[in-house]
Amino acid sequence: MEPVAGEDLARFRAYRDSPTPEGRNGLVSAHLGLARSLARRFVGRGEPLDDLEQVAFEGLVKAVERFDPDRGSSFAAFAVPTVVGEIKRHFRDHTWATKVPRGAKELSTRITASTEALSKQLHRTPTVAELAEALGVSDDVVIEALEARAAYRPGSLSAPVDREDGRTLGDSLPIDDTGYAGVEARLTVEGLLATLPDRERRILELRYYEELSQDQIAKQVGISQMHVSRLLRRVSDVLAASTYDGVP
Amino acid sequence: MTALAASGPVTLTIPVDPVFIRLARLVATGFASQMAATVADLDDVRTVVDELCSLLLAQSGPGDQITITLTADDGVLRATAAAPSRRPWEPDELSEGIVRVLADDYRVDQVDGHVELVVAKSVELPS
Repeated sequence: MEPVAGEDLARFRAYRDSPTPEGRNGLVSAHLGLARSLARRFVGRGEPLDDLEQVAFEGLVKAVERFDPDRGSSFAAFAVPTVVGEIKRHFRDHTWATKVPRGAKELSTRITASTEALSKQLHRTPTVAELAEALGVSDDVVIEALEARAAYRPGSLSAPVDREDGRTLGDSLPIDDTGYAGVEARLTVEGLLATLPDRERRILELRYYEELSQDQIAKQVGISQMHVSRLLRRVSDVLAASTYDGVP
Repeated sequence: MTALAASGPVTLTIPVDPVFIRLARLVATGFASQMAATVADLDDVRTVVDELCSLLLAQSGPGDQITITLTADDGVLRATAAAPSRRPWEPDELSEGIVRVLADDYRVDQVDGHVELVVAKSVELPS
């Protein structure tokens, strides 16, 4: 992050002394990169990047309005807690409090159903990427849901099976390492990504890392949504086949 | 899952390579999930570990390793990320700012050519 230059502090002083919409907008525009950078840090928590950037921009506006250039700290040092606080509030008010517990349970159920369906279709268990594609979510969301499944195991797993040492049924079961296996698959896929042509690799990155919709990818790459869909499917098939054929 | 009052240490050593940061995040969130942390806290832990590793990546050189140690005590998760320090400590302000916001406590220790980043985060346990 670039340190705030004296000229920038002078602009903040000018805005503090004479607050105008133009002055505020100029300062906000000058620091949009900071807000975008912070928003990207919170991708993968179930909210689209566009929404996160919007919230970050709102936080940035508040930071611009509240920043005192004579208190000795840089604007960035002041703005980060303000913007991150705004993003966390957004999650708390709009996502975590209402969507996640129910969503995690629903997703866990859908993962179980999709795993069964894809296993029959593929004659092997699906990769995390395949589950993510089938469910319309990111790889990370699937991995999280796999990890979260442990939280929804029936209470009977806590019942003691050994009265002497207090071991429970849950203790005696193998550790549910599905999520770790999923990560291994993802790391393998990342190695395979390097073997793809630039455009296909870019499309996959836009879909799974930046979590853009197929429509958004189509606009960005300059092809139709249907074409994006076909490319994603084809590339996923190639990667999956390579993974299971042991191709590095 | 039963919340653990105390646990650890769990230690993970990874090469200084961005590709392994994901592994560090996964181990950290897996550890936090053993504390029965909420999804919100898991997300925060993931982000904090990501930033700690990123800070150390910028500080280290080829062939170096980052060691992450996780402990849990009375609802507080402590994470220490350590790596050789090849240059004067000039942390990325944005990364440190994020860590300070998401964790309850953050400090930097420099000992014998190594830098240690230590964070503590209270984990909200579901009622």
